[in-house]
Order: sequence, then structure tokens, then C-alpha cells
Amino acid sequence: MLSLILGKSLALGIGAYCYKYLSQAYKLIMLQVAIALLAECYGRYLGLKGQHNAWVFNLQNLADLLLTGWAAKLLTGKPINKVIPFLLLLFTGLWAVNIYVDGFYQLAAWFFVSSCILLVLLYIAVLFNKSLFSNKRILEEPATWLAISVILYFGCSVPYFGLYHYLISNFSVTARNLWAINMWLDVLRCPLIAVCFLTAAKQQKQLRTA
Amino acid sequence: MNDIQNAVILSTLLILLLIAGVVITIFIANRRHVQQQISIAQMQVDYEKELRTVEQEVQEQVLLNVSRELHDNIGQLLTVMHMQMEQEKLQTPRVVNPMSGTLQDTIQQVRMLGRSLNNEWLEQNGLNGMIQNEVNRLEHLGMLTIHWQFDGVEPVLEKDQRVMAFRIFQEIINNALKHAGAANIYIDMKGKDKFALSIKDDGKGFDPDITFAMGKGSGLRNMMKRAALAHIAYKMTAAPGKGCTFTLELH
Repeated sequence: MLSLILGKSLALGIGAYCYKYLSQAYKLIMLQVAIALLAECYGRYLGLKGQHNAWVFNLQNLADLLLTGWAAKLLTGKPINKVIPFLLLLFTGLWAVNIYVDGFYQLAAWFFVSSCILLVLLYIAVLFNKSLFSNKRILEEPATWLAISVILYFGCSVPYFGLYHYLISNFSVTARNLWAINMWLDVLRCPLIAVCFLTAAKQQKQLRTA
Repeated sequence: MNDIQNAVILSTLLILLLIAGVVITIFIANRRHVQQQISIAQMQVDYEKELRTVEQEVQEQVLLNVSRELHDNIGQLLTVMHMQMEQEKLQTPRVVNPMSGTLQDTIQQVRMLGRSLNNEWLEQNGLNGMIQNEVNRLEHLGMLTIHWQFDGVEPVLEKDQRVMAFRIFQEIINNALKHAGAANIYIDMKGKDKFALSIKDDGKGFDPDITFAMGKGSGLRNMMKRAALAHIAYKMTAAPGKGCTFTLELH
């Protein structure tokens, strides 16, 4: 948990350092990291006090989808970026339905799994877009690092959160053990985001100098 | 319980492998794309270079033909005319004398023009000799004052570089005469350590950014490309009301 908070703080610190060079897409990602950090801290605090904390993560997951999804819209080209706002609207509806069915104090796992799949597909599109339509080497593109972080975390979260309610109700110890995979992927995601911010700032500096 | 745990771990690993596969495929596609773009850019550069070389060769050939025509045909005709006038001078010296002087000047101008167009002369007399010839010609025209400085050492240049430097010099002088409305041109050439030629005028000047933004200045762009082709560093400084300065240096 501490490594997750440290990881997110590192990404956020580097984002703040490079802030003036970041484009709107990366500023959205920075906001998403800040929200995630707050949610992790507050959720953990509520958990320690023995209170419901799933509602915090429900809100965080929605913010994750909207901010990361909108960043994908800004990073990819036509026609995908035209469809993204409608998809985000549709998935917000799905979130509302999931909350309505399971309640606000239960983690909206089905919404989260479907949003993970959506984000993975969107960021694969971003990667394809950058690899086929940009003349730069793909590792010099900040979007590449962001896409890898998103695909890695959200892609690998699908099996665990797909079985989340089943595991929590029947095998709570196993659920807690498996949650570690998810947490470490989240930790791994943070340096990738930090590299993304640094690459974006470097690219912007080069552009301004040119 | 273990089965479920293993199933989750295995499916996570499977997804991880799939992601790695997708990412590697994208990396390979990008690498190919970048390499393709690099070769296309290289081909364009080569094509442009080839085009400029051919253009230069054609221009030199045309100039050589014009120069020969001036020397062998027009020059001869003018000389014959001068000889006829010399004969006429005995009968009507008051009328013919001034005409004969003008004709002598014309013959001299045509000869100098012919030399300035002929790069064989450039080989024989060097860049210094050719610029000196051009300075004499311009002084004779009397349209502006030329301030010519030279350190006395013929710069060490390859044949193509010499031809290109001289043609660029001619273009700059031509621009100063046609557009700048300059009263003075300052030419400074150094050949001792490294070739450096600077041409400065006190004309009306211009804003290069505006000129290029308006799609004008094709001659200036052409000079830049030609200098690059001959591996000569070309620099231009200009501002409205402050004249223009051009510098040619060896890289």
C-alpha cells in the first residue's frame, strides 16, 4: 500500500515538475493520478476505521474511465476520437446501472471490468495510431508509455475483478492474496506514467526550441 | 480454492503475454514505418541534390555557350565595326571619334561579361581574378561604389565550389543592383586560413521572414540550396533600412 502511494506521489511530483510542458491529455492523466492517490488514501483510512470504502473506489473508477478515456480521445485520430465521447457516455450509464443494481457501498465490479476492456482497446488504438502515423520512434512518443501503463494495468485487472464478488463472498483470503497482483501492477504503472510525463515535457521543449 | 487462484493467475499471465505480443507487434510495425520514412526522406534528399547538380550543369553549359557567342561572334563583329570606324576616323574624325570611344568601351564590357559567364576563365584566373573582373565591370557601369578587400591568398576550393561561390556572388550582386538600390557594396574575401567571402550592401534591405512567408525570395532559397550542395556555409542577414549582408564560408 505504501509503495502504491509512493509510486503515485512520484508520478504526480514529476507531472507537477513538467506541468507547463504537458499537453491537455497528459494534464488529464495527472488529474487522474491525483484523484487515484486521494482515493487510495481516503479509502484506506475508511477501511482502517471499519467503514464502507467501496463507494470511494466506485467514484475513482468512474473518474479513471472518464479522464483516461478522454485523454485517449485527445491522443488518437479520426474516426476513433469521434466515437469516444459516446462510449464514455454509454459507460457512465453502465456505471449508474451497476450502482443502482448492486448499491453504492458495493464495488461496481462489472462496470470496472467492462471499462478495463474499453480502455485497453482504446489505448491499443492509440499505440497503433502512434506507430503507423507518426514518423518518430515509438519510444520517443509519450503516448506509448501511457498506453503501455494503461494496457498493462487495466488488461491484467480483468481476471481478478471478473471474479471479484465471487472471490470476496467465498474465498476472502484468496481474494486478498490476488489483490496483491493488482496492486503491484498499479505500482508498476506509476513509473511508466512518470516516464510519459518526462517524455512529453522533453518533446515539448524540443518543439519550442525548434 | 487453489484452482480459482491458479485460474486467476494463469489468465492474468495469459493476458500479460497477449499484451506483450500486441506491444511487440506494434514496435516492429513502428520500426519498419520509421525506417521506410527515413529511406523516403533520404531518396528525396538525393533526388533534390541530383536535380540541383543537373540544373547547375545545364546553367553552366548555357552560360558557356553565351560566353563563347559573345566572344566569338558579337565580339568579332564589334571589333570589325571598330576597325571600320578607325578607317572612317580619317575622313570624319569629329563624328566618329566619340562613337569609336563608346564602341571601344562596349567591346571591353562584352569581353568582361563573356569572361564572367565562362567558368573556364574561373579555372584560369581563380575566384580572386573573377571577382576582380566583376568589380571592374561594375565600377565601369558607375551605378554604385564597390569597396573590394582581399587578403591576397587565393582560397583553396574545389572546382565545383569555386564555380558555385562565384555564381552565388554574381546573384547577390545582381540582387543588389536590381532590388536593393544600394550606393555602396562592400566585398571582403579571405583565403589565407579558410575561405570566407562577405558581401554587404547599404540598400533598403528587407525582412526575410515576411519575404519567405509571402512565397517570394526563390532566388535567395536557390542560393541557399546551391551553397549546401557545394558544402559551403551560407548566411544572410537583412533588415528593412539596414541593407543586407551575405557570408559564404567553407564548412
